[in-house]
Amino acid sequence: MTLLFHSWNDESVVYNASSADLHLLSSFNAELLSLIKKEAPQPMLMTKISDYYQIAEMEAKKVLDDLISEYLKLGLLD
Amino acid sequence: MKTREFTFKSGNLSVSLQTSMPTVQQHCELIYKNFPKPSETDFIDFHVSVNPVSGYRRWLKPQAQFSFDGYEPFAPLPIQQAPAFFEWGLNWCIANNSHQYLIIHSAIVEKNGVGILLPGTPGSGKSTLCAALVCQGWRLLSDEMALLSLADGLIYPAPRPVSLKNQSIQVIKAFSPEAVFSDIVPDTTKGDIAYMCVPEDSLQRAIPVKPAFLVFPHYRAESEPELTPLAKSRAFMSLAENAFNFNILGALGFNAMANLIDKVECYDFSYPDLTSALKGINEIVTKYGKE
Repeated sequence: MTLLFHSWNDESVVYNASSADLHLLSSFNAELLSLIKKEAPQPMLMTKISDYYQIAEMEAKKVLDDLISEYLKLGLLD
Repeated sequence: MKTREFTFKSGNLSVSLQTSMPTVQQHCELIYKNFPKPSETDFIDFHVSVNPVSGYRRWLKPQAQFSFDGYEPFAPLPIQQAPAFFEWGLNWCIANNSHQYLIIHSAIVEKNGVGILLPGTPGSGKSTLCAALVCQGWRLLSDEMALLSLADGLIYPAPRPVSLKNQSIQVIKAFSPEAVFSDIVPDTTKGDIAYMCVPEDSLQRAIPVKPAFLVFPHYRAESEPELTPLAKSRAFMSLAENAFNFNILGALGFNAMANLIDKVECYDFSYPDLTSALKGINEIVTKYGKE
């Protein structure tokens, strides 16, 4: 699945070339999604979430799991 | 009735129409008489025809049929709608066969090198606003389809008569009594329709434009005029909905749209009447000229 990204300030548009769906995400979510697609290590993802939401890294794991579920529902992850 | 052929160029697109219908012939003689003609070496992009349906339909609720390269993509329409059928049919041909462009449902006008896109949602008043701007001296590139080149990011002209519906017809006739109109085509699914001729300047200066502004017009009677900056991401999403072939082009369409949005200032513009609409549009351009 190929995703195309383009960002302006705090928001990004993401195009799924396989489904032709177009999504509007926060730039944080777009960046996180892009890192997940590149198979970034989980600790790196959790640090990013922890820094963004100003939460402990233990809580960041749950947030990451929830976000991945959302991306799957939207068809942005296989 | 003898079949006649009308050929004309709308920007880079060449059209050949064959018709035996007097109303369509009269429509073309009036509306397309000043359009440039294709040269002998020009390739004709669209061969279309509008003719009466044969058989018993010649007498019982007579109908007209549109064809493109011998193919009939639509059901016939009442014969009174034949001139509009030609215009709609040609719009369909362009929208479905010009994928060297990202085709956006939008008016595009230009003045002093400044191009403004006015994307059209139903009831927005796009065509009325476009007609009024053209009557004020803005160059018409199109009232219906902005052709964004995938190769160079410019918008290429394809001027055609401005289609006006119902009350808009009288509004523009009152606004610009010297404007030339076709006969009214009554009782279509969109109501009564008339076509305003394209000024000669727009036909002769058929050069592409680099767009500077993207303005989503919203006609709201009895409101105050309001020009609101629009986030580029939101503008992208709204404009993608107005692009006929966005999904056909895939990544090419996405990138072309993103590059366009990068370059333009984006606004929502609600207005209660034509005077305030024109004032608002001209203020945008004046502001651009000062920067």
